[in-house]
Amino acid sequence: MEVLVTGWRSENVRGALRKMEINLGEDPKRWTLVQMPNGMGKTTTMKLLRDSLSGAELTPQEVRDLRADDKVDTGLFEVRLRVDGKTFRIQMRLDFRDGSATYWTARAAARGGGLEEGIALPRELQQLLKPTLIELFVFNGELANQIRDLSRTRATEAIRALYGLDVLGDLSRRIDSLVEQEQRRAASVSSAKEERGIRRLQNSLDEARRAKDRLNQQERGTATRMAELERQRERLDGEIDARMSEDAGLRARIERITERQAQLDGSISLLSVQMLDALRRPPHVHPRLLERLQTLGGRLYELKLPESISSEFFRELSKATECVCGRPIGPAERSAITERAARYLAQDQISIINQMKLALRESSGDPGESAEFVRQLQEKLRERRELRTDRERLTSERIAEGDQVLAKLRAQLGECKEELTTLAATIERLTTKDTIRQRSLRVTWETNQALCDAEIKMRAARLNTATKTRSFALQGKHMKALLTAIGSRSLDILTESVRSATNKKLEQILKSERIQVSRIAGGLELQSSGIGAKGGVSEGQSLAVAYAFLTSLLADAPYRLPFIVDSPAVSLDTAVRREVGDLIPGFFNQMVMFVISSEREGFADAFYARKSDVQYITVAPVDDGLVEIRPGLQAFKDFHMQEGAV
Amino acid sequence: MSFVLPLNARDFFGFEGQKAFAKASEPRRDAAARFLMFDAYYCCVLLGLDGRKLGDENKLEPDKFFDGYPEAFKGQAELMAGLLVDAELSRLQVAPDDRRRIEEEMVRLLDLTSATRLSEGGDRLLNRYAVSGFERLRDAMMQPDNLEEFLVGYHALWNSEQ
Repeated sequence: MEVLVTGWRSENVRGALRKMEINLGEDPKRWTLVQMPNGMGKTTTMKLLRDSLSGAELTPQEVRDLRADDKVDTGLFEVRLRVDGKTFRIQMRLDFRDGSATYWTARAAARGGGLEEGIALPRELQQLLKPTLIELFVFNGELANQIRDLSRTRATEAIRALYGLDVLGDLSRRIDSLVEQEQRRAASVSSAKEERGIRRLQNSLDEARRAKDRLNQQERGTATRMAELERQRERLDGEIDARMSEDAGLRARIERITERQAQLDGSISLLSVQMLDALRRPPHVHPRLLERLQTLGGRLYELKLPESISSEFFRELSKATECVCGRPIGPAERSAITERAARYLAQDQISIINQMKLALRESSGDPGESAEFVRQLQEKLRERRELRTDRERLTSERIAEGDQVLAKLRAQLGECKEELTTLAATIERLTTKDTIRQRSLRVTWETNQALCDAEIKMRAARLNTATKTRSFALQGKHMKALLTAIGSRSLDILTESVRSATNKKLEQILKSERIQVSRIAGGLELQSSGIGAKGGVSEGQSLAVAYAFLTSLLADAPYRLPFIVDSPAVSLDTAVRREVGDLIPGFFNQMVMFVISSEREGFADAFYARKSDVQYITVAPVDDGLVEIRPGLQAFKDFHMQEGAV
Repeated sequence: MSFVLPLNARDFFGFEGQKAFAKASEPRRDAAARFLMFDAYYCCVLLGLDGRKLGDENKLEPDKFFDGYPEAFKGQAELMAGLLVDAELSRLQVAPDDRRRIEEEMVRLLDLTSATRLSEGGDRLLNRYAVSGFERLRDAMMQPDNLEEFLVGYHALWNSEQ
């Protein structure tokens, strides 16, 4: 896949870019030399090319700095590309009033060939065009020295940019952000993040679980003891009855009491059932309820609620052509009937209200019936209590007469009942779930099972959250370590691959002296039989090394990219320029070189021999700050201008 | 929606599973076995409707315990709906002759197709009346040991506030 620059143009941009169009043709030559004097916008053009390709966000000040003069409000820079044979035009539209820069793309393939907002290059290419990579092929001459400089990291940065290793750094930062987010979320439940904090939470949960085990054990022990005591009470009751029955007179009285008690229990049960049945009919519960039901029923009758005509009736009527009164129904009547139908209830609503109304009207009850049941019930309950007292009194009399055995049995029964009462209270304290009872009994999670369950749940949630958070943070740490290792290992492999490719190129182009890249460590470390590890290469060789490195690197890009360079030889003396001019043309598929007239000698004239594949363009200033584009070698050679005069 | 018990009502009526007054110290008889969980709910609702005061929805159990009315309450659904309409008209201070508002309230609260004869909103309100009724019950009487004690105490409660 190939990307070629086919031209660019500018409007209302400062310097000579007020109105300039460079056209390299649909099938541009391999090498283009654009001769532009200093001060006419070479650096600006390079920057605008870089920004347009990356869609850079410009600050309002940066935009306004591009303004040709105060008379213009808008400006434009457009770069034309051919990507795999298809034409794309990327426009940077400048609005000097609000300081904005917006990007638009015109694609030949787009419907109607119109402009669409944003940069719309093929996806793979667009992902590749990051500022750090664009810098490598819209090339700043100074970068060549930086690539060589071991104290800088340009060479490795370039490798990282091309192979997308920066994504690993983005991933690491994303992990940090996720871990922080998780810790912040978990902080509302537990602040523990470290091992010690988690141990503390685990101990705290264990403590609550031990408390629950203890409470369960207590409950089981208490219940077992209560069951024993119940049996003991029954036995003691039986023994007391048996002891009392040894006296014939007492036996007859006890039998009567027992018999009556049984009768009373039956009566109480029957009355309870009758009372419960009455209670289930609201009008029987209290006269107030009966009165309210009847009042509401009466009110519905008085107000004639619900309406007997339903909304359905009117909806049906609206479909008829004639009203029930015989008059015709036209569109106006139909509309009015439909609209007003909504004011009436639906048939099912009328039915339910009528059902309730009927029930209310027929509601009747005799609250006196319940009162009578309760009166009888109270009477039976009182008698039951009296019988119990009678039985107690008989026992007391017998003891008073000196029955020590009975006294002992009753004392045992008393102790048994007392313990049962205490244990019942203990069970209630242990088991009650009623929040009001819990408060009034002043139980805590250490003394009540329900509260202990809630405490365990809360502590487990804290521990779970803290454990998950810590585990999440640890996983994040491992993941980051892996990413670092992957990044480091990848960089080693890629660096070695680029170094080897660079050296192969250097072998071909520097035939007179064997110069090799011995190491890429931030910058490029060179070695040669004659120069030692620290350098001593000529400036031309140095530039050749930098370009060899770049071409080796860019050769692996998914697209073959053009190489655009500003003043590639300006700092070199003439001899070196010739060397560079001879060396670098073979590196790139398309090279666009901005040169000044002083670079012609030595550098540009190295291209003169390559007749067919070179294009020469000279940008010459004319009046009013405008420029003239002069194509051809002759114009290129003939152009004379004092540098710095513009 | 249907019927939801107020929180702690199960404990108050001594329910163990479906058995009320399960810890009664008196020997258990058939009568206690006939006291349904719905009876407990109904006793609370009647007191709440009588007081015409809504309770806090947060003081209800999370889930319903019964749909519709049990067989023992057959024919009472319309009367309960009537008591709810009466309580709401009073709570919302609807004038006795405001025909339109009364009709609107009935439409809001009633639903022919529902087992309770109430709309979902009506069910929800009835449950909230049960909450206020339960609070009134618990303020007035100790936790009953057995059914007969409860019945006597409940009757006394209705008659103590005439």
